[in-house]
Amino acid sequence: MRSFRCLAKDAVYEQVRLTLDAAWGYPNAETNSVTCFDPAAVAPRDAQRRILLAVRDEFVSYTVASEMLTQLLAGGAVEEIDLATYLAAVNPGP
Amino acid sequence: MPMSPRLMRPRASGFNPRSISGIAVWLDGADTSYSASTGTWTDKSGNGQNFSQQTPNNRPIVSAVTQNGLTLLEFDGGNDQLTNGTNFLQVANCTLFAAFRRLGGAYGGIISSSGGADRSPGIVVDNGRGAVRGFANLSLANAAAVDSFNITSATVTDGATVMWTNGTQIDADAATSTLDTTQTTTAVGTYRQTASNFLNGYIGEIIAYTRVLTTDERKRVERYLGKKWGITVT
Repeated sequence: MRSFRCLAKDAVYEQVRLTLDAAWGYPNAETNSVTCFDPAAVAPRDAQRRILLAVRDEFVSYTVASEMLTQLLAGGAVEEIDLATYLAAVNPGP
Repeated sequence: MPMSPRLMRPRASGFNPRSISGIAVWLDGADTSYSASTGTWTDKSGNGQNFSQQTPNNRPIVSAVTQNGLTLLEFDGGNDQLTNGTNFLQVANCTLFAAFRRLGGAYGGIISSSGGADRSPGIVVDNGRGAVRGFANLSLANAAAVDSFNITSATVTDGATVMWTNGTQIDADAATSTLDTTQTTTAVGTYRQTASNFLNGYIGEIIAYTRVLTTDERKRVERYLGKKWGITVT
């Protein structure tokens, strides 16, 4: 699993999500899929309200996702974070 | 000479959880009732209590790891969960069973109907140990380690919660509050729906009944799960 923090505005995150949805044909009744990952409105966030996202390794091995991720990382819209940081944010305990 | 029809009959298929009355849900990871491509785990109880996930990134996968040669659902601890759009476990009396293993993480849900109040039945990983949620009481004091594949079972009533691991009673606590009926969904893979806490681990099977099973009935289900998943049940 790889995890990321969105440093850009929510609109950029949403643009990425919808672009990937379009590439993969979501919503898709055949696979029961509405969107590829959580929309900004429900995505986990860190203490500074920045969106966090974790994806399986296979997800970023797809060409369209890999190319987009490379651009986002290079442009500073997204940074990769260690998994422990992500897990601490989404698994706060009781 | 043709073979006797009696000898051609299939061997007895063994115990069927549906043979005990009051079954609410039966989720089985060992067959094709979970589809990773559609994110739906189809209920085998006959009640249609399917669990699903419409976002592919949040779907558990069918693990390459097996238990007793059987397939498992693997939850990544980061965002995987399946939900059912009803609160069918928010009942005054129930019996829960789960065959699962924790891989890591201090918290995670096996099956839970709780929101933020911890006042409805569920089997969870709590502070790194297996626990059963009853009416505001978690069997924490002597809760069992769940870092190996295990069969956890529990009865929950408005009076008490009792927890067994691999057939051995682990704890029994008196209920300290009333049932929370405010949640509208039930989840597999999250500890508490309003605060995430995703399971990092494997789930093989979940069975729940909306009544307290007799000791004999509970043991029958435990033996079925133990034999199936290769776990010694006392």
